[in-house]
Amino acid sequence: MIVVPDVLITGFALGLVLLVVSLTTNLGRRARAGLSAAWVVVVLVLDVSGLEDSRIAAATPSPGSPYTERMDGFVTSDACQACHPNQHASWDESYHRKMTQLPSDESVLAPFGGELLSYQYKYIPHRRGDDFWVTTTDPTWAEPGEELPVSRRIALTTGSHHQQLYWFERPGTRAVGRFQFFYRVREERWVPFNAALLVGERNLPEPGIYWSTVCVRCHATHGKPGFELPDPGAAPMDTRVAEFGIACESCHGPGEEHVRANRSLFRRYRGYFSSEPDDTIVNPSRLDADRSLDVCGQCHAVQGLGSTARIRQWSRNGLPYRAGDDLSEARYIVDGRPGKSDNVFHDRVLRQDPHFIEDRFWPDGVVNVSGREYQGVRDSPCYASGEYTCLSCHQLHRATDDPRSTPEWANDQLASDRLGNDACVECHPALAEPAALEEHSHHAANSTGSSCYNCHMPNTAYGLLNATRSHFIENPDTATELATGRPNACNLCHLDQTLAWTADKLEAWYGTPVPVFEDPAHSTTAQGVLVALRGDAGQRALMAFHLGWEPARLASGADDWALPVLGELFLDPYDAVRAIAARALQQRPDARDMNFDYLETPPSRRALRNRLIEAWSGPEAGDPELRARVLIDGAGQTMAKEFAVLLDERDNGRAFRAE
Amino acid sequence: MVANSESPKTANPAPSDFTALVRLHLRFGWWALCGFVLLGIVLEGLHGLKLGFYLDLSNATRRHMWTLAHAHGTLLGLINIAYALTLRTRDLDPSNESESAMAGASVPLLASTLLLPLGFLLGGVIIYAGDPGLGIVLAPIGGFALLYATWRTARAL
Repeated sequence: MIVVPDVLITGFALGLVLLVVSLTTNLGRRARAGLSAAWVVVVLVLDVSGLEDSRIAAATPSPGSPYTERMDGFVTSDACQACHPNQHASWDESYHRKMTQLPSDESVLAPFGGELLSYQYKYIPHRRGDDFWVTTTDPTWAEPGEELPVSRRIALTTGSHHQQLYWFERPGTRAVGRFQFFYRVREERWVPFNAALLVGERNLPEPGIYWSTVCVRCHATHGKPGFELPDPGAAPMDTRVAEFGIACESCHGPGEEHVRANRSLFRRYRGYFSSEPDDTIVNPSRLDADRSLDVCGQCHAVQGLGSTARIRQWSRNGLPYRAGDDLSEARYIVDGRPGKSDNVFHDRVLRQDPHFIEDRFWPDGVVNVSGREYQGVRDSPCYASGEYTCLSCHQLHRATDDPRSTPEWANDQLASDRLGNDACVECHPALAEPAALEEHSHHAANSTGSSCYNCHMPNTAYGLLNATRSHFIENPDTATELATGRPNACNLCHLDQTLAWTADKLEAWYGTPVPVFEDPAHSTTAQGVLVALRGDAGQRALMAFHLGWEPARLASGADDWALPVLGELFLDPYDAVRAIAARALQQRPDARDMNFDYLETPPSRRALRNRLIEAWSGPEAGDPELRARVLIDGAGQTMAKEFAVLLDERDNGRAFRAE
Repeated sequence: MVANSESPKTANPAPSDFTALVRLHLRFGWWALCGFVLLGIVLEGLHGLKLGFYLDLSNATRRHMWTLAHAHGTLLGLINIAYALTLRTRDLDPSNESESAMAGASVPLLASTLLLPLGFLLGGVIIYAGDPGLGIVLAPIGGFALLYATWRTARAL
């Protein structure tokens, strides 16, 4: 929409009033001239001040919260709307915009209705007028000498798609503390912080100062933490940002010069009739592949600042990276591949956190956690073409001819013509023909087995109680699974088949060498059962997801045999595994009306699981080999002994995903 | 009105010219009103039929321009009628310079009635995101013509 500044309307209205006055009264020429001059002066003054204020407004800072400030050429997304209404509107509906928000009736998704949350301590989220508060007996929320319970006002929210987190004000500093409960959006419930992560730790973390020291780097635009080293929490912080959320200037660079230049009517219209890009702003789709990838990679990469000097500079001046720059000059991009850890950055990081690499990468360096797709894209063979970037598939502004609703587009921001194989056949046109596709995939052309994504970008990254697609484009290979533990794409659909079966198929179809299977279970037991029962928590989470994933359920007939496996996953010691298993159980036709609360006590969950198993009977007839693979006997019952053996072999080692 | 037997020192319009002006502006005003009310009905129809080229967010500038065309055209129709009534209610003396000055607002008023809404209408045909098409240049010309016409009329009263 064209914005007509209120000040101009006011000015013209004043002028009309003066005109009527001068015409209806017996004013002399001098008086009329004076009135006219006065009107011109008033309008000019209002225009100059009003135009500036109406275009670029700073939020009113709240005393105990990070605040917004105009700085360093950032003018906020408000300045973009007048000329780019469509882009602004789709961004406004995106989860990028909502990554950090000030609390309001619109932004806060949790009820804050005075419900009591108990986990080690008591927490009561509630309202006071327009504000959102939490009252708690948690001593980590209290200042020295402050008596419990304490009440704190919510200052910020994080997230809005799958879950939302809240941050409370602290007296005397702008470093907000973290409320240790997530609000899960789909489930419409509060869950303790660790119950929304893949982590074995049971105790709630302390509120900390993470928004200012970690989150601000990616969840806001041009943030400046305002802490001092070596101890960021020792002194009050002055955390400020150009804009909350991931706004226009995160991807397009500071807009001040662009706004100023394009106030000129002539410049704008000259640009409409020219194919030359506007050099006062960055358009990531016009950058070369490296720089385009870097725009997304500034947040969607496993990375660090790399040095104390950089951290200090970031804290005071914000991150130096601007869209269009070489990201590697401002950040250290972590390489998780073996043998790549012998450098100063890794030494420092691994001294502080010995598990840094394994919490983010599979052993071969492929990212294992969602939201860090940069390395996968960069290391993919497709990237070598020089034309493959995030924007090959993702569309950060919904197209005007996109038939989907805005929420559908916002879900993953894939372009409407990138939902199927279209993204890939652009560079692999031979596979556009159904016959050629079938010959390549050995699956029906219109089946999920012929989806490029399912074979070459399987869901092997964990995040947000979910599995997401790995962005490292690779061919399925059972040898890789043996070496790294990362499930191969074939068995993530064919959960009922063994690893050896997959290896034989890959060898017959593509000449992929068959590895040596030293473990006989790889030749006798379905991979969906094997990994679910004896994998580590990360693997179990992925398998729980796929046991409820429709393409896999249909391909493997999991609804017939998988209940015992899901039942075990519902008793898993990791909250995240149980959460995903509960969702998979809910998908089953025989369990849709049941309530699988993954946070119920172990006896309750066990009782529910037992009821389910007692009522269930697996396939008695049909393929005896299938029953043997999925550990179901001739009577349609679970082969309890074999189950127990696999459970005994479970990898109960530490597992964590650094989301 | 009695005709003056002496020749006027300046070529002032005869009373019949004012009558013609009144008739012209009444007709012009009512037809303009009719036309732009019709445009308003058409625009409502576009709303009712939810036509994307008018209602999609990417076409907000078009919607704004055509709404302005309808509003300004309707308003200008009324101004023409008001102008005609103003002319008619005055006991106009063609030899009076200020009153002939008021009649001199006729041409700019007619021009603005055409140019101002036409500028908005054309400006909405081809748009550039937040900017109207080049046809918009007619709108400020029409606007200044209107300003001149109303100033001239007000001054003559």
